[in-house]
Amino acid sequence: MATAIEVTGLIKSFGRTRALDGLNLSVRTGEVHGFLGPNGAGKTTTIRILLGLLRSDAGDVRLLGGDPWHDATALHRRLAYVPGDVSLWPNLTGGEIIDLLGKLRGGIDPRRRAALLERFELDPRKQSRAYSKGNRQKVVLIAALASDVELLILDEPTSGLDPLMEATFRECIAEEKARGRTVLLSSHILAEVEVLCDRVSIVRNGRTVESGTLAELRHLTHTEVSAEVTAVPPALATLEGIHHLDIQGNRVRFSVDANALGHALSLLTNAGLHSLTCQPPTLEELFLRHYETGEQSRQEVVR
Amino acid sequence: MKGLEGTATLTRLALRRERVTIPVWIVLLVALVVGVAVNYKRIFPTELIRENFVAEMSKNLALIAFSGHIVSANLGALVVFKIGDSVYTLLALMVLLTVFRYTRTEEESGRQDLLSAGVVGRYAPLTASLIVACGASLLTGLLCVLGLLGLGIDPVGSLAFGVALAGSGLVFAALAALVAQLSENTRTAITIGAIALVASYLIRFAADAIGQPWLEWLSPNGWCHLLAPFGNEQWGVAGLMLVATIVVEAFAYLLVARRDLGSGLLAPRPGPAGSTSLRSPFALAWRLQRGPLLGWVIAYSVIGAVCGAAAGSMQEFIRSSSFGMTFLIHYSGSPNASSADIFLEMIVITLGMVSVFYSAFATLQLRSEEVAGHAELLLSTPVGRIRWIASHLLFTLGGTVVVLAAGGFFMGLVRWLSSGDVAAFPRVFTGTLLHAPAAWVLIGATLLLFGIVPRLAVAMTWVVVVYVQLIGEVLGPIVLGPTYRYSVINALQPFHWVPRITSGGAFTATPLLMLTGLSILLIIAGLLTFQRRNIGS
Repeated sequence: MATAIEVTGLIKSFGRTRALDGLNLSVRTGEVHGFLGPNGAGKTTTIRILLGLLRSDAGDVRLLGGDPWHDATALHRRLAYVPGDVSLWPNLTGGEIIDLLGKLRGGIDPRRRAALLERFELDPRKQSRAYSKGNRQKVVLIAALASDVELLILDEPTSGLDPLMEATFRECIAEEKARGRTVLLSSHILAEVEVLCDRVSIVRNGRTVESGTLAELRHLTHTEVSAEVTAVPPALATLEGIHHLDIQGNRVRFSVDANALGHALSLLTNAGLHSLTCQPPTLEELFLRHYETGEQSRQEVVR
Repeated sequence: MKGLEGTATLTRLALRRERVTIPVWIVLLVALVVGVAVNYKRIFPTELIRENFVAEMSKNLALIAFSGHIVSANLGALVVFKIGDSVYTLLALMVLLTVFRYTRTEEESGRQDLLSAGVVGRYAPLTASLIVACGASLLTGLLCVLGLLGLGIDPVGSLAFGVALAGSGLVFAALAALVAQLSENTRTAITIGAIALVASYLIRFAADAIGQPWLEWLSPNGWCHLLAPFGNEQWGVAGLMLVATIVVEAFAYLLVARRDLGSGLLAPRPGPAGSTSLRSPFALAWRLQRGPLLGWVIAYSVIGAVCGAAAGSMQEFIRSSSFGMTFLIHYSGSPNASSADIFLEMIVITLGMVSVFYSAFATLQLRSEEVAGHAELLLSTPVGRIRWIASHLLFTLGGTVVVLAAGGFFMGLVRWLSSGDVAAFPRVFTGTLLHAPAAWVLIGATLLLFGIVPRLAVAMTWVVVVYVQLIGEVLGPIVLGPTYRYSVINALQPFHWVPRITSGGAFTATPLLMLTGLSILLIIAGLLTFQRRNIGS
């Protein structure tokens, strides 16, 4: 199967609030897919619909070739889920909960369980009411990673982990990918997404505003150029696709759309280039562009 | 004062959060007292009638054990006899829960960290919770006194009753303050508090049942009786209550100063590193439900055994012109039943009706699991919705039967051994078990509410439970008068239909089959609606 998750035109309202407003999401089998968006954009709602916990109002949702509402139980045999806000049974120990969730998903590999406990440095004998947020997250993460499933659905899985554990998490996800598992990763930590994800989807106000590989997304935006030339070519000022042009003597800074980059650089080369730095847009900038609310602030960034 | 900074703010916060709960409790308690007083004023209009009633009741230790001695033929004394222990206990329960809510729960949830990071003294949270709980106790006492005075009942006795009631609240507020220091979690605190409350009642019960009045000094509930409202009032006991309150509270304050925020005196022990038995939702549900179930089974066994023994001391009433008979006759399944059997029937009915508290708590566990997000985690695995519900339903339906069976078994067994009447055992045991289908109807109703209106399910379930209790046997006679058994309102509660075979009523299968059928329909409707709704809504 080519796609693990295929969502088109998904709509879900809670009373008068429209949480999802025609959301699209396509996750290919075997890829790690980043699912990004500001708080309240509809990421968790989408995931809960994918799990058959919520019923969509309209739109098409296919998960591992099935309907998440009608085939919930059958589909859940093939996936593991890590919620963003992990709540555990307070009087059960972490070890007991890992075993419980593992058994419910059809078995757990005891060696992998032991290895993951060690890697994540989790004490399985503590009652879960004594765990911090990060440790609660580790309990569910270990249960998910040690289960034999095709798809991992992770909702901000590292929001409580320390940087060391975050690195461990990244290693684990890379291993899962190598084993051919599909991962849907909702996250706010852009560095994590940049390292792990093959493709990303950005949602805002319940709609998908961007979707594709990072290279594709970058292609849509501009590159920061800073150069020192013998004489600044006047043609630069009139070139289509140049923004924020700033000339200081023989130094020039501007940002340029991807399709005008080659033209701009050839102008600079002909003008006697002494030094040049080209910076692709960071993921951070990409997201800021989409996270900003209101047309005005958005234009400020783009212009 | 040092350590008390922020108390006023925390008190206002607590009052703001309590603006519905505590007023509802207080109104309910005052309504119970005044309602009984109004009813008794009608039933016992003259001193002579009251004296006869008191003389007849006092011969029966089994009845006296439940409510304590009737201290005089004063109307107020009869009211205290009927409702005193109920309101002492309910007020104590309210106070326990209130103190825990603003001490241990706040620490456990981490909210106290947020508050204590402000200008809040070490003693402020405990002090605020005590101010609210003690204030509510005093207000309840005061309102009851005013209510009784309004009905023209003896002022000194009324005041003494108000003092006993408020005193019960103060003592248990202090106990709660102490218990809140012991464990790291609220659940354990509530368990310890509930055990203290039950023990307090049972010690007093035993004192009257076996005729050893000195035992009453060992129990806060006993102190309320020793104060003897409407009898020869012993005001010194009120002083004892106050001293006990202060001493226990002082101890609690000492502990607060010596422990870390969030920690308890009982250190948590490490648990198992894994589990081979937690392999299905049923295993998990058993793990979550077994503690409360065990508690109920033990409580029902003890109460059953005690009541089975107490039935032997029931004197035969004089059938004609007996006020004792009018007091008890509506429990009877047959006009020719002996008073011992009527007494047993009364206990059987009470065990049946009280078991719905277990049923409701156990069924509402589904909602708690959903609200806490545990259901989401489970339902993200191959566990389907029906299987998840079934895992809990098995224990609520079966648990109710087990609880009833435990009570009926021990009551029947002890009655058989003490009276030598072998036939008493099956009559009591089966008579108790027959209440299960009625409790199942409540479980079905709870499940349907859970399916249709999840947000309101908890509140509406308790409304239904209270309706059944009030209309059933407690407030039924007060609200509807002596013929309440035959009213439509009573017929709407399932226990109305249970055959009363313990006291010679005929066994009829039809109502039981109807109740079982109704509960099955409700459960199916609950499952269907739950399958169609959003999780977490």
